[in-house]
Amino acid sequence: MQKKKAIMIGAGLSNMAAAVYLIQEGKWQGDQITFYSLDDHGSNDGAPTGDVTDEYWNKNHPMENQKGYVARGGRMLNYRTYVDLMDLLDRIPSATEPNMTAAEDTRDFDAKHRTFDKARLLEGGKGIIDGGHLGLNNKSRMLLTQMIMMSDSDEEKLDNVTIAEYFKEDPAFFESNFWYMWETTFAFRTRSSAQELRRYMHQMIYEFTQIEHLVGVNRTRYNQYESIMLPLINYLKEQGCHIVLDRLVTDWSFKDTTMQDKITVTGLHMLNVTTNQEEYVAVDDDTAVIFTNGSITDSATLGDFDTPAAENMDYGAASSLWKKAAEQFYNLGTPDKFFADRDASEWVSFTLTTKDHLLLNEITRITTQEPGNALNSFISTTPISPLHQKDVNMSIVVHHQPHFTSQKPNETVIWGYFLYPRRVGEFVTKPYIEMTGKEMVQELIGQLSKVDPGPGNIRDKEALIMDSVINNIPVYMPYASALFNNRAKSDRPKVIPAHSTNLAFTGEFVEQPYQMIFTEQSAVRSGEIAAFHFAGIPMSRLVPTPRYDKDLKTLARAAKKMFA
Amino acid sequence: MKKKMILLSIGLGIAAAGAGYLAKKTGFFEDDAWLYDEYDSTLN
Repeated sequence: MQKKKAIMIGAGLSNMAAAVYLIQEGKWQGDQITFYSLDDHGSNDGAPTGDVTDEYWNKNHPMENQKGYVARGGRMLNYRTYVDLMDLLDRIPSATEPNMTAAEDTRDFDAKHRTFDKARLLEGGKGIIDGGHLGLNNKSRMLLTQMIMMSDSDEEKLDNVTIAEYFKEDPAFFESNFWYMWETTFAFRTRSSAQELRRYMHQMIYEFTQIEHLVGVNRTRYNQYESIMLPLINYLKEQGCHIVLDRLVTDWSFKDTTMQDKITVTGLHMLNVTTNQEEYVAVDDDTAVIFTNGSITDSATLGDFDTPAAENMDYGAASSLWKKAAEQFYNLGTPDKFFADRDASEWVSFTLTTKDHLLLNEITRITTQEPGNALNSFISTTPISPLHQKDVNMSIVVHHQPHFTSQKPNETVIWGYFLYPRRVGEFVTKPYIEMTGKEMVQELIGQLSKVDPGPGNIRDKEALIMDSVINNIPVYMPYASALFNNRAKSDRPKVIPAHSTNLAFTGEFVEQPYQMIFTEQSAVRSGEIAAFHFAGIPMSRLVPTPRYDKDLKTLARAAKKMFA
Repeated sequence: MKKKMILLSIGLGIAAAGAGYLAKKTGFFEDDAWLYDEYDSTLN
């Protein structure tokens, strides 16, 4: 159904991508597009802490220490598979580098700072582990091969199957280096969807051969807000798009139909969270509504150096609205699968800012690698999982410095996360979710001390390191892995659901052919599809998707690697 | 010689059939382009 105007609910990456394609491919004017959103920093964000303290939720929960930086999440790119993202970034100017597109900016930076992780896994008493030895047994190899060989048209056989269930006859799989690396590179948990793991095995099959060094990983020059979101915001504002922030869209008005099977949005109810006034926006026949129906950072909360992040029990802003739509129509998926099972999806992350490079240099010494190359995961020395197995207890990402344009030369910013926040720390004996920023730094130093090859030990410098900390912001994200939650294929709405006349779904909670989620790639592609649909552009002009899972050389290399 | 050729042909035939079966089973030749047709407003 072709339209002449668009209302975007949510101002994240997928809807901004939709707007760019509407303008550039659909030849729309920017002022035909209006965004309504709580904020415009995307789910990944990244900002000086003081910039976010007045945002929704945060402003009612003031932080004592507002210094330093905060990035709720952290992501890596992959040019070879993120083809739609790179196409998008090629269409807009960089926000920080003159005369470069955002794609050229990233390619330029990445070419000068190639990723080659030398300490992907670390274990107390052993130091750096050889992750190149995947540690799979024959049963694991067989089950993984079956998963890789399962065709796209058969993937519904994995409806409602968790990874734990898929590998139930092979618990040793969860103590393999392969699993330690795969779970922490992509953030899978044992209760995540086997169907999604299958998609990853297909779309990321060539990463299989180089996962211990993360050779295929590409990174942006700065945090992804400044390197991806800001170029989009600048471009769209320049084009005349209306970006209305501090709006929480709370409900829909739909056109009544006999069988209530035709989906036509006629109005949106929203709350201005600044004035607390309720507002209503009518949707006419010429207008498309493009809705990002979930965010993995919805309901996220911030702590500080002396305060743990509070546990926010909100269902989530975007997902609450999705739920209201799904209650009215049968084919809009099952939001509860993703947003009513936080035990399966929650994480705690932290963003550590220091006033010097002491900790950074110590990490460089221990991991033998330069900042910017690292995703270091620390394996426990004792069983910590429900299966009484060892597992990764925390991971850190040491960015290339500076990670923020406003960061001072003497400052360091490091990001880390705990995939299972209810587990108890080894050095601070309380669940990670209850830790202050300070206790998380103590836990990190403890983990580093276990793998320190010497001479001396990082713990000897603990007091100096603690003195160097400007702030460490713990962030509780109840839905960080929600997009991986166990599901059936029908639990997510299609980008354009059947019988929809003007409503599209975008982001990480929509069903698209082949695409794996938790990638900027799938988010952008969903926006591209929605834009092409409403602007009347043939789908044959979508960016072609590479299929490495059908490349015999790649498959042969993966098969060989499986025996490493 | 002729017998060897026949056996070789049978062997190659079985291998080709096996490879074809495997390719079909794993969806090697599946094309997902048609899955986007339902979104294509220019086809309506």
